[in-house]
Amino acid sequence: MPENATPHPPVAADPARQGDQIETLAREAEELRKKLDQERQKLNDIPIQQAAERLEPMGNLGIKQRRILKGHAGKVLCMDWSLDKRHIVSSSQDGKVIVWDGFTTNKEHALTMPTTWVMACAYSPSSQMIACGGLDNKCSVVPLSFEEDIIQKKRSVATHTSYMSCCTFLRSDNLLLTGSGDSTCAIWDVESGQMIQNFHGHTGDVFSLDIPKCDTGNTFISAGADKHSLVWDIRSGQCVQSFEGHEADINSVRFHPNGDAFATGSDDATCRLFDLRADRQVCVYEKESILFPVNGVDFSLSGRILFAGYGDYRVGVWDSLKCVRHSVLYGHENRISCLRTSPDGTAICSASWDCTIRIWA
Amino acid sequence: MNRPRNVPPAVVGTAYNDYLQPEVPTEMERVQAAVDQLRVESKLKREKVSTVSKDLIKFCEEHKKEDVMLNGALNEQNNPYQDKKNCTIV
Repeated sequence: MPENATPHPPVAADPARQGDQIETLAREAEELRKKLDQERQKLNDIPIQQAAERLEPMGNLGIKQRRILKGHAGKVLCMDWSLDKRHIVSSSQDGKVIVWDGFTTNKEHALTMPTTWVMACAYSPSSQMIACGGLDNKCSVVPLSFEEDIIQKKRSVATHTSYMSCCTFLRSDNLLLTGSGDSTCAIWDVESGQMIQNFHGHTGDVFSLDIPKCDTGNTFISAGADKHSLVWDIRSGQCVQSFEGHEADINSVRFHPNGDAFATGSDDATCRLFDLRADRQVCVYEKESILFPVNGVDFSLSGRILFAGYGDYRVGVWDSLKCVRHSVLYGHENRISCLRTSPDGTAICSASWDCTIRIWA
Repeated sequence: MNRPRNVPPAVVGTAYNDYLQPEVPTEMERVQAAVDQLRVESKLKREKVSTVSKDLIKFCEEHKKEDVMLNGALNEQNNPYQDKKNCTIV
């Protein structure tokens, strides 16, 4: 901002009067907050596990490690599935981005980014492009082709004022949704690099965001260091709902396939289920023996299973309705950083600080 | 979260930073924004937890047949990630 610009209207002449106004507003905020809590509490009638009591328990799932993708020399920080259910993009702390064929475990592309800590990567809906970024504060896109050195075609689309922590394409190859350590989210036009909408409301770093699987609405969710999950109206840029409950950073947020609920994973070692229509937390997935952060969560195709990747190297398999842990998947040799179900729900993929990516089915 | 302990200053993009730096809101603006937000949220229509639970259960039940991970071993042949079978039944 130039020094001679006046960003705000002149401050009211009487500072005492302004102090009164602030106090009145603060009191109103306090009352509204109390009323909201009461409203939400009133609707908390029967817990979901009680409603699910008569359901058959989940049987033997037979989920095993089926593939291991080796090639990163640093901690893998993020991964994303292609909609072809076969290709995977991953990014690591040493600045590498790799595109894999999940069936054959072959590397199809490997890029070296100019900065380390590539914290986010995403596959475009057409599978012809990837987006990635992190500590460079940017989100760059790279078209995938076998004809030339694709790094030459890398183009930066988004720029934040702090690291870019998460990104996803929105409906088409031409819109990118990003979240950042600058506590904002934004939508960008891939072609022009113009910011189309930004989202202010978080009071801490944004770590994760998600859009509903059947994206007919105009909302997305984001969560992060302020322990809150926020629901946004894409068109207006307005925060429409805010969810609390977690006692530490939220690292991961994923919509339930029904589009009305979402799960979160947090440094407080719990996963939680929230529902947009109930406007509150519905369930906590926790165990006394689990003390490590949850870094990635995702649902199975029907929403019955909630998978959670933990800092204790394990994948927890939860019954999302009965709210009990069904089983544990062992394999990784360091903390899990990211976990995602494949687009057709046939497999899950986990990325880890052990430099590997594993596919489980 | 996957973030380094001490985030070093951006190597690139600093030229944009001054330009993009959001204005720091005044105390007044901050409180006003909080009240506006709460007013929006207090107008929301809400459902009971029992209602949304019933809908969640219904959704899971309706889609359980398509859920390959849930059907596990029954669905091996539909899963492209299954291990190749080396043994045959005699």
